[in-house]
Amino acid sequence: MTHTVLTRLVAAAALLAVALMFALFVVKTVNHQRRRWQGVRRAHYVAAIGEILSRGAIPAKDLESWAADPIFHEVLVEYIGIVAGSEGETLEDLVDSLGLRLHMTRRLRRARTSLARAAAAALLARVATPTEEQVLIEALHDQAAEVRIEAARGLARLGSWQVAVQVLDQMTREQPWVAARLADRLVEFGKKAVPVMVEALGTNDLPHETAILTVRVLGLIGDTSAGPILAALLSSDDPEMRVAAASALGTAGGPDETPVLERALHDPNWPVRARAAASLGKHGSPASVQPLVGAITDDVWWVRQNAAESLAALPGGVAALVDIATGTDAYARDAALLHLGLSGSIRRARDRVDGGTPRPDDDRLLAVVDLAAELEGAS
Amino acid sequence: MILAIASIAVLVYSALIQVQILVVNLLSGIQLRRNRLATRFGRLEDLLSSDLAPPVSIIVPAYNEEAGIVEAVRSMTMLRYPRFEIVVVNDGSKDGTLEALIGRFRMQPVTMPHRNEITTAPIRQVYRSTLPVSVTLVDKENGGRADALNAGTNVARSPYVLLTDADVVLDGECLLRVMRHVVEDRVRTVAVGGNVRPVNGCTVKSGRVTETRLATGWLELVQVLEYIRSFIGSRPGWSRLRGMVLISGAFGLYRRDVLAEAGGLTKGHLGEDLDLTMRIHRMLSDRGEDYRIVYAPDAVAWTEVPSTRKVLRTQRIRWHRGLMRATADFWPMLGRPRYGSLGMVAWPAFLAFEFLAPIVEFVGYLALPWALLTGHLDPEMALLLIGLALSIGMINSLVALFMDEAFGYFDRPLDAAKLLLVVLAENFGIRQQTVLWRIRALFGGKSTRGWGDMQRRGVANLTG
Repeated sequence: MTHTVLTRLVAAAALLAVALMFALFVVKTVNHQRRRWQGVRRAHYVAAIGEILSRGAIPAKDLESWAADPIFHEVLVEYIGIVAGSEGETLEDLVDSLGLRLHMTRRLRRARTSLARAAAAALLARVATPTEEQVLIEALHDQAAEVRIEAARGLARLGSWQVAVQVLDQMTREQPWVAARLADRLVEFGKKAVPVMVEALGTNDLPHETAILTVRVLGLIGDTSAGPILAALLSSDDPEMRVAAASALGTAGGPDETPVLERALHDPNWPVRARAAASLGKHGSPASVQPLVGAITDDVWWVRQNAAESLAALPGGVAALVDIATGTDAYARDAALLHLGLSGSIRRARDRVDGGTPRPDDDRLLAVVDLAAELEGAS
Repeated sequence: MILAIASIAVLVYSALIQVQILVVNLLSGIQLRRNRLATRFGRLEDLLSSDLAPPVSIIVPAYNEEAGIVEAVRSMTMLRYPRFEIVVVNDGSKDGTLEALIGRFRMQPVTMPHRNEITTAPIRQVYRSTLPVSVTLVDKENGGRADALNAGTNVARSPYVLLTDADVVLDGECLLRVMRHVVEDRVRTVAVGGNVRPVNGCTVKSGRVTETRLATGWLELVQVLEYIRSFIGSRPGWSRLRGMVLISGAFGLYRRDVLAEAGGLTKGHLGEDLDLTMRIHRMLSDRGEDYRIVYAPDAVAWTEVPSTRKVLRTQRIRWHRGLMRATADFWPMLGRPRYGSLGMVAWPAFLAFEFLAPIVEFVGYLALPWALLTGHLDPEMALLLIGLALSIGMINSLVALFMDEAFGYFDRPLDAAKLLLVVLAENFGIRQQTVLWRIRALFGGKSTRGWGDMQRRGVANLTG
């Protein structure tokens, strides 16, 4: 009995192995030819679209077969990403003449596989007009994450701020990685979406992760109208939120928020202090030099580094760094010397001295550098 | 009677191994399909342009790498990723490695403070390139590969570090592909392993693999199949089960703070990558943290595999010695629910089918003929069980090759035929030889304790 079962099992396994070997050989050979053929088609489309762009006109011959070819779609997406102006208009004409928008709209609504819907969404996201807005809004709720993300890309391209609310709303229901990708799309809405996000943050209704992402997006857009809400969030009880707000204020904070960032240099949480130090460098206010000189003696390496880097970028900051480099705090001195070097201050000072046009602090700076080098050699 | 039971036990064990591999293969298939969808629609391009992409430090240890280090670093500077720095650690080289790097990248000494979170051999000097590439050179006293990587981790300025080797050829997009997993779950992802493939036979130009071809040597061909089975057939499945036991030392990305907190790589450990992965699991699980260690099958690093029996022997003995030490160190994690699927499934399976496999197989080679000769075992039954194990083994290899087909390597008809030949013939000769080497590793002795001389041809010599 056991023998019979085992014999059949072995025979089945051996047969399967032989069948798989044959199938693998066939699949590999076919794929090899298919990849070569795809390469040929790709080259053909690249050349053909290139010629269409250079002539600025669509050929009269029937191009309908192109509309259904995924390789053409891929090439078209790549071209759309790199052309502008009149060439962009020619591509628009090509999309029109092929009826691609209608083709993709149908596929996005009807295709059964997520791969096909995602491919349709990816192309439609780049060629959609306001007519396709509704289908993209529907696709924001597709079961495949890729389709939702591509839909958000298309909506960001169309750019109506009312839709930004829906993207933000969708972020609250997503897994972290999908939410992060939707956040990237929110950045593409630009300044138009800022009031929507400021309002959402003001209601305190956003889930924690979404709120953090929204603050980051505000920082990436860099519109100073978000400054007051970000300044308010800098006094949040949540350290993660304070870190995000301190970062975002570097680009989305105006002069009114500079004092808030200076106060954040004394935050009990060091990442907040480090981010605040970095953000102050972006504000460019000479009044921040003194608070940053204090921060360069911080216990934490990152805070000292960021403070030194910001000082190197501020008016009057290099002189402060030279003072620190001659001081007694070895940690602050290291940070100051490193950023005097990285910012090019040491090289420029040496060039000026060598060229006979030194500035008042140049000799002092170079003396400190030489001394540091000597100490380094001695140790 | 005992002989008969032992023989049947060995044969049943062999069949069980193959069934376990088959199950993991199927899980890998599901994971690879998901991964394909994830990488197809612009996630990588988005990452490239996203300000949310965290910076990465690539740590490259270098000991007497004068011939190839400049080319290796130069090719790394051209990786596609928005923000990264390269930290080369000259581990007390006796040749001109240091001078070659200083000259080519116009390095200047900097008084760069670094955190000694992991204790290492003393650092002599830190240099930074004055060219518009972010390359830092750490010159330190010799302490071995692990020590050099630890020193690089101390000096690294980014929140994520990629540990690799100077003789590894990285694919242009590998950094984007590993970091995708971090960006998608930044809070929980602490480490990501990459896919290591044999570079033997491939064409390398300007530090990049430009044409993938199979090697001609039999030993190299067998290793190509082994790597595909491991990195395509097995790891995606274990990653899906949250049971990644090992991130390969040739290409692994870690969150810097977690790596430093775990104490970095263990100096002198022969399986330092396995040891590090398991220590991170233990540390974070003991603290009850929700974390994930994942695998990126599309992030490819190419490495030279041994082409001679002598070097392969040294490597396999070293691997098994490393596994033995890890088995002793992490034995208590076995079957503990606290360690989740790692403690309950992955680690027990790893030990049962990796650590014990050579012992059981060796016993089988002794017991089976003896039992057959003395009439204690029915020859027909023995043949059937051997046939079953071999057939399922071949099916497993073929399934892995099918899954690998999606990546588009080795698809010329001649390459396909070569791989099929290896599938058929690898069970005879080299397999038994490997079992003997691993048994040799069990008994220890001077020849099994060190890293040995790996005698690679070097990527520089493959460069076209």
